[in-house]
Amino acid sequence: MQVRKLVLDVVKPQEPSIVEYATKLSSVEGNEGVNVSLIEVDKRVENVRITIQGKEIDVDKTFEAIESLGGAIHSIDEVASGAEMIGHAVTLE
Amino acid sequence: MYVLNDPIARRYFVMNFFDGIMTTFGMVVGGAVSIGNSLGVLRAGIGASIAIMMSGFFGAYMSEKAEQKLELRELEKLLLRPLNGTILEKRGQEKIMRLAIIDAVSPFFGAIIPIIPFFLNLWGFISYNLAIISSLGLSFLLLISLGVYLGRLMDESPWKSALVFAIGGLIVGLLSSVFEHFIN
Repeated sequence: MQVRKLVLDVVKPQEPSIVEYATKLSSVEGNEGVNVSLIEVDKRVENVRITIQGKEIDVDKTFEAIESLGGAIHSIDEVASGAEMIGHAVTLE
Repeated sequence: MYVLNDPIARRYFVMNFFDGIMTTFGMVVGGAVSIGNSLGVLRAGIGASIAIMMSGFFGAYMSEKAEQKLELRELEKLLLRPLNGTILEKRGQEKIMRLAIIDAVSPFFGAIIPIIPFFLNLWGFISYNLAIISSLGLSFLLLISLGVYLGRLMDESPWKSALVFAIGGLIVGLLSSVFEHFIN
């Protein structure tokens, strides 16, 4: 089944910039939309959240692209797959 | 233009162009009269230009390579992953080469331009004394241009930094004359 949404927590050096991350990741086949948001800035590195949407995301190529840009994937925070897109459920307590 | 936009490249360019000018300037002030002919000055000048070019290239290449490795190792510790084969390593290597070339070419041109008048003397266009005077004038012109460029860069009076460079030239000239006097 195809992966249609991927949310990643990534730590990256300050260069290349998030602009380059977004443009490079959007050029990976299957990635139709990419958002790179800055979460935290340290002296030498940055923590970013990368959100990717597409009809059929190539997860391996996406990971390769992030790694070739010098990023380290800390965690996969969200994955959506299947015919219908479903957002994460909020647990009522 | 890379040389004018990157601060490190700019620093290398200014420092080494200045070095090149001063090398030839010192040689012409201290040695042109005693050497007595253009061929001798050109041999010494070209030899010095090539030496300063090679020294610039290898000096910058080795020091930048060490800095680049250190920077990558520090980033690897923070990212908890190796950075071999990444865009950071490739760009770092390109930067090392660019800086090494700037560090080689800038002193070479700084040293070779002021000896052009001696070529003119060799080909019979000007006299030897005029070649010496033109070489010194050319050196001062280059020093002043460098000063004006830096002054504009700092948004200060270009003539102020041009004066500092010119004084630097005068000090080198004075020291070279003094040493030549003592050796003779």
